[in-house]
Parts: sequence; structure tokens; C-alpha cells
Amino acid sequence: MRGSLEQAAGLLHGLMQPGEAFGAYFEGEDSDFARLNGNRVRQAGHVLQQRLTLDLMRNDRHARAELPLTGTPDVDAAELSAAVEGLRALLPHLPPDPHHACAEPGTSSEDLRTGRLPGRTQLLKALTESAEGLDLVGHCATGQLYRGFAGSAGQWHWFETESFSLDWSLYHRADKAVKGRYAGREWDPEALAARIRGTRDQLEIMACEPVRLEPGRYRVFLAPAAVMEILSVIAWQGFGLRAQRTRQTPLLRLVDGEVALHPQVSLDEHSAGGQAPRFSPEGFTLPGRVALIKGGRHAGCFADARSSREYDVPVNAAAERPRSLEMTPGTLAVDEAARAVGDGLLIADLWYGNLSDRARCAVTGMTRYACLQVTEGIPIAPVEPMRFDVSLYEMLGDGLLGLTRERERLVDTGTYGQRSTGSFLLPGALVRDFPLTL
Amino acid sequence: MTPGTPTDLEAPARRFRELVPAVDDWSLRLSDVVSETLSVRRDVVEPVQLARDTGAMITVSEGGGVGYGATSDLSRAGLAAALERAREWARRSAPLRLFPPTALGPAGTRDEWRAPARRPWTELDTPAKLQLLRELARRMKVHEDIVDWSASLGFQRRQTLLVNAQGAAIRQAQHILVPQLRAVANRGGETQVRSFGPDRGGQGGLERLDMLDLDAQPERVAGDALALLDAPDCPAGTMDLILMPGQMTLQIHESIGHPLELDRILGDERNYAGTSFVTPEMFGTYRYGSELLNVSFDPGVAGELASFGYDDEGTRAERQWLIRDGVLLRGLGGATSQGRSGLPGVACARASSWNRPPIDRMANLNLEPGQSSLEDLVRGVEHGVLMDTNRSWSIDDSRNKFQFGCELGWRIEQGELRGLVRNPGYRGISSAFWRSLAGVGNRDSLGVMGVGTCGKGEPNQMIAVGHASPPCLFRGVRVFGGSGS
Repeated sequence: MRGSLEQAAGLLHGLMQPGEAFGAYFEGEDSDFARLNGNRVRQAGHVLQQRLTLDLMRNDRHARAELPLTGTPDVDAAELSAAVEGLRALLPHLPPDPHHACAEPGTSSEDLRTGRLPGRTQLLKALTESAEGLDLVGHCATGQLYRGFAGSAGQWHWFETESFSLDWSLYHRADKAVKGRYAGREWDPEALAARIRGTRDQLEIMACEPVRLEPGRYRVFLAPAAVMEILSVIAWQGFGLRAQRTRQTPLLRLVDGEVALHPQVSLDEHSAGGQAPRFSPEGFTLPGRVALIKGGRHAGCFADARSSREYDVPVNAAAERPRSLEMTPGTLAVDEAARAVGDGLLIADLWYGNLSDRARCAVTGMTRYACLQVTEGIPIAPVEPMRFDVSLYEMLGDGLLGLTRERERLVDTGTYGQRSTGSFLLPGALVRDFPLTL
Repeated sequence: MTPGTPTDLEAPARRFRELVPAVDDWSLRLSDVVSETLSVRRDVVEPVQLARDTGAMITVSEGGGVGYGATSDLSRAGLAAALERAREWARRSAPLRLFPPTALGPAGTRDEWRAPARRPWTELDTPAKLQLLRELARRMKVHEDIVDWSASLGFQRRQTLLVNAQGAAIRQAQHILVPQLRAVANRGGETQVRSFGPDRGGQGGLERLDMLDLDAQPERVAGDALALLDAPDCPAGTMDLILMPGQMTLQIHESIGHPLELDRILGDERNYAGTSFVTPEMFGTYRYGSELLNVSFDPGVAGELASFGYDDEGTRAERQWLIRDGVLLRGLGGATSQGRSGLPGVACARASSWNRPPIDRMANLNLEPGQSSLEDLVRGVEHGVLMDTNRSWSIDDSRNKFQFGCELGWRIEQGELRGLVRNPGYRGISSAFWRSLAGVGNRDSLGVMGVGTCGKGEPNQMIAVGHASPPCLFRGVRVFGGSGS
């Protein structure tokens, strides 16, 4: 698809009139998807899409068009020409845009991440054979993702990656299930089989009679996926400069220095270690690491291109949300998690989180999948789904007893519009007084 | 490229018919969405965004399997490549199929459906619309404690063409307008947000701005946000609760709409959106709510967000009762899910775009009006709270245990509204909650609203659904303020 952007950039250079400038952000994917229920295929198919976001600037005025590309010169030329004409006609009627920012001339990058992907149906076959006889529900995605930027001042970025992801649930019955994930760039059928075996083993305890808990406070171990769910809610507005300056961030008291988290808590956006492109839609090269929380205290935030102009700071993010969030590990061995809980809960996943109280930085949501009651350090039974409502200031503050030394890379398997390039690298967390409310 | 120039979908349909070989069955769904987004934030005009999203979804039944190929390349070569992908997936997935292929749409239906729009979006030019937004935004900056304020208009012109091997050709067109006003008030560590809009999106043209009385909203929105800074937290305890249409929208959506989706009941969504507490044997007998609860699937309400003539499988859409006098009658499932489950459903197989296959969706799901005025409902409360405008939602994967938060509430004592309260929330269990329904507002109090961002499916799909409801009274609900206690 690189040729599509190169061709579009060439056409746009030819369409520019004196005083005009453009920025063109490209998104493309060539993906296969298969959806399963009962370890059988519910829907399967292929999606090929290419999309360009075109910014046209003149005399500090700025407007934007999004359009599909095909890679076919005649078709794309007509579409681009119409888009430029439409924007050109609009610009004289717009006021100057004081917040528009575009990358400096000459910035460029190339990031090609090749992999070893399974064949179109190999992945599906491997998954269903590994789960033969089990009630597997899930989704497979595999293929190529592309991002690029071309600017009229010669800016150029290209990102290309091959990847696959499998995300499944094995059901015992009703809502009793365990979750499995396998994602990466290097396909290894043995690794998949091992993960399926791992989730199959967990099913045994889900067959035990479930326990109905009373609302109250519990000592819990949150696996990395559960930590991710809570941080994902906070991350929606928590770390953005715009949300901080307009006092909308749920982390306001942390930002103001009124509260601090546990000294073990450090959070970074680690672009260099993630799976997302390291440039913004406006062509800015992003830093390899942005410290957000250090030693429990606020350390920084995201500034996208518009915020950088509005608040006069450098650009350090494609958008004001994390795409490659990392938490520093602790010292607790993950194998010791149940023993460290003693009497309490092992929580593998949380689900449907949402802010319940912005001022307290409180998140509510539900337990899902393997949430297990632990007695004297031994998991004994699954727990009926329970609602939690917890303040991050408590959970990662006084309530935090430890973080695991092992971290898990959790690939965002989201596919709204297109496959995501986001990921998390997180430890598990041992927490006391975790509130369950219903 | 302007919103006035839709793509010709007939040409790619002709190209496809010329190249499609003799397969067991096929369908082609072409989609073209042209949109324009105008926004003013803190008195700065944000970049005007024009967009087009055009593509094709080809579905093929061959060799005992079904596969799809979707592409944004509508050239002959592009369609041919997508067709080959669909055929390949059909053949390769056949041995692993969940159920035998069913007909890909109706035989021979040829029809056209257009949503009415009295005042075209282009009747006002872009500068005039931006001037309107600048004025609306300016009027929200009423105090130094208003720290962020914005006004926006989003417009979409959607057209689809569905053709299939049986000679069907169904053309549909919709215009959708979504206004939004938003004011953020802050003093010290307290921040309150008040909004008017995203849940007021609907089909039609600029006449919707007058219908929604948008011009009367800026000072009210900003005034509410400021007043909330000084309001006490919502009281906590078990008490009566009146929900205005702005919150009923989410309550209906999450605890009636999603549990009734047949694909959830069939287990398709168990890895993502979840399952349902509703089981097949409940249809026809289960008491979902009190006798005051009447819920319809109605894709024919003019102006509601998800009105249409046919769903994306080509089934003609008709109004149906889902819950009548509190009893569950019918689920939300299209022809495919009805065939798999043997349960009654509706025409609701919908796709978010050309690049996703249809799945069971809500469309317009409406709680029908009762007999009470809003004043009657308030008079019937000795001790309780009235809440409006959703700001937080969470529910378990079987759609039973929920917790919702609203932008604002009013304390009710002895049948009278007694003062604003902030950070109102409530929680409950769907099955018990709807049986506590004790009052339903009349037709004069009906709000026709919707949700523009309903997420579901793998691969994921975001779609707009409509919900109409009057205010409703519930007895004995667990209510709380900001602390979540």
C-alpha cells in the first residue's frame, strides 16, 4: 500500500497552488477475520481498506477531508482532485486556525515490521483443532496494517506491520468461562496449543459450585488484564494535557499534588517498545518514552498537535491517550499470588469499566471470567459476577500491597473501524480492601 | 467533494453483476457515507472536516460455506479481488461452519426507501453554520468558572444499495444530524459537565435544529454546570427514582435492548459483548416488568435515529411489540438468527459500515407512553430523586447487574422538586428493576432520542440506535451520590 500514499502525495504536490500546503495521513489494512461460536465458524471474511486524511492549509486557514483510496491512479486522482477543490473553496470562508500544527520540513521515518503469519485458514484450523470438544467462542484476525504520512514540505513517514491476534473464551456453562489470548508477529502453533491447554486446565475449577459473595471489601490479586481494564478507563481522559488544563481529568487531585499513589507505581507511554507507529497524524515524530506517573506522583502528560499550539508545549503524542502504556514491575512472584492473597479473590479479568466518580478517580465495572475465591492461599471456587466501584487513589495508593515482577504484554485486539495497534505491558497487583458493591 | 455529491452506487453494482460467476448464492451491499463535522471550542473554529466512506461488502455462499470480502476499491479489479476472497473463505470455512448457509436476502424485492429531510443541510452554507455555532458557544461562556465550552454539528448523508442473486435491489437513503453543546465548570477540585446533544441525534435536515430548540439551550447548559458546582451530592439510600428520557435511553438500551438480542442468546457474543439473562423459553411468558412496561421495535418513526425500510439482510422492517403489558413476546434478531433459534424476531440485522457483516442490532427500541404527566409522577413520590442525562454506564455480561450515573438530579420530597443534586447514580438488577416500574409519562412527555455509539461484534462494530421514552417512575431503587456508597 506504500505505493498508494506515494502516488497520492505525487498527485497532491501537482494539485497545490502557490501559498498552499498539505498534510496527508494514510491508514490501510489487509486483514482476514474469523468469528467462532461453539468452536465453529460463525462469520469469516477479508477486509481491504485504504483511507487518507488530507489537511489543506493556506494563509493560516485549515480544513480537512477524509477519503477512500484504491491505489488505482485514475480513480484516486479524481477523488483527490475533488477533495482539494472542495477544501480550497472552503478555506476563504474560514477564520485562521490558531491551533493548527504541522511537522517541520524534512522529518522522515521508516518502520517495517515483518513477521511470520499463518496462512489464511491455518490459524483457524490450529485454533479449532486445539479446542476440539470445547465450547470455544472467539475471534481471529491476521494480516497487514499500514500507516503513513506525506507533507508538502517533504515530510515522510511509513509504518508497516504484519500481525495476528486470537482472543477466545472457553465456556464451562452459562457465564462460567476462562479467557485466552495469543497475539504477535511470529506465528507458532505450539505456543497457541500451550495457551489453549492452559485455559482448558483453568476450566476445571470453573466446574465447581460458584460462590455468591456479599458486598464488602476483599483482599484481591488483579491479574494484568484486570489492571488493564481499570487503567483503560482512567486513560480515556486522565493523561491528556487538554483534559488537565480544562480540569476534566479524573486524575486532577494527583495532577494538583493533593494525593500521591504508592511509590511503586510508575507509568510510562513507551512508544519505542509498543506496536503503534511513532509518528502523529500531522507528521510529528514521537518521543520513545513519556513519563506519566513516577514514584506515585504525576510526572507528565500527552500533548497532541493541537494542544501543543494551544498550550505552547512540544508535541509528544498522536492523540491524548496512551497507545503503548507500561507500568514498572514490582517484586511479587506471580506464582506466589494466591498465597499472597491468603483469604480473598484472584481476579483474572474485569469488564465494562466506566468512571463512577470523577473527583475520586473512581471506576465501576464487573468481574468476568475466572474470578476465584481463595482460602488459605488456595483457589477453591468461581465467584458469581460482582460489581466493583474503586478509587484509583485507593487501589494504587494505600491499598496497593505489591506488584508482580513478571509483566504481561496485552495486545489491544480492538477492531472498531480497523485493527488497533495499541498494547499494554503491565504487572499484576495485590490489593487490600477492594470494594465489591453488588 | 462536498456533502451534496453522493457516489453513484449503480455503476459498481453493474460491474459486479457482470463479473460474478455461478456460485450457490451471493449478495452485494454497497455503502456510501458523506459527512461534515463543524465544531467551535473555546471560541476557536476547529478544522472543518469533510469525509466520504465508500465501499462494498460481497457475501458468497459456495461449497457449503459462507464468506465475505469487503473493499474500498469499487473498480472492476477491486470487486473481483474481494469476490475471490469471499469465495475462498466460503470454501475453506465450510467444514467448520456453525450452521448451514441460509438465503442471502429476499427474492426479487425491488424498492427504495428515503428518510424525509425538509430543510437540506446545504440550505445554510458552511460560514453561516459556523457563525451559528460560534454564537451558541459564545453564549455558554457566562462565567469565569466555565473552563471549557463547545458547540458542534455533525451531518451524515448515508446511502446503501443491496443487490443479490435472486434479483433484489433495495436502495435506502438517510440524512442524520447530531448537534452537541457542552459546558465544563470548575472551581478548585470540583468539575461538573453538562451537555445537550449527542443523545438528540436524529434523521432529517436542518429543521431538527428548530425542533430541538437548540437556540434556547446554551445559557441553560452553562447555568446547570455552574449550579452543579454548588449543589450537594445526591443523597444515598433506597428510594423512589424518576428517570427523564435522557437517562431512560441508556436504561432501555442496556437492560432491555441488549438482553433481547438473539445473537447474544445464541452465544455469538460471549467472547466480547456478553451473553443474556434471557433464555429462549422465556419468550411468550416471562414477566419482564410491571404491567406498565410496553416496548416496541419501530423502525418507522420519522426522525428517529435508526429508522429504515429494510435491514442489511434485506428483510422488510415492521413495527413489532417486544414487551406487552410487562410480558416478553419477541427478541431482537434478524432472519438469520430467527432461523437458527426458532424464536420470533424483527428486521434488525445491521452492519456499521461496508467493511463489517450484519449482526443483530436494536434499531429503534421504544418504551411506549403511559397516562401520567411528569407532574403526576413527581407528585407520586414522597422521598426520592429525579435524574437526567447519562454520563456513566456499566452492566454485567449477562445484562443484569447495572450501575448508571447521570449529569444532574433533583431531590423530591413530599411530591415536590426540592433542589439540584450532583453526581447522582443508581444501581440495580434488570429483572427486579423493571418490575418496580410504577409510573410512565404520557405522550406529551415523550423524548425521541438515541445512542450513536453502540459497540458490539467481532470484528467490532459501532452503530447508532434510536430510543424513545417518556419519563418513568421506579420504586425502591438503590441511589447514591458521588462517593459510590
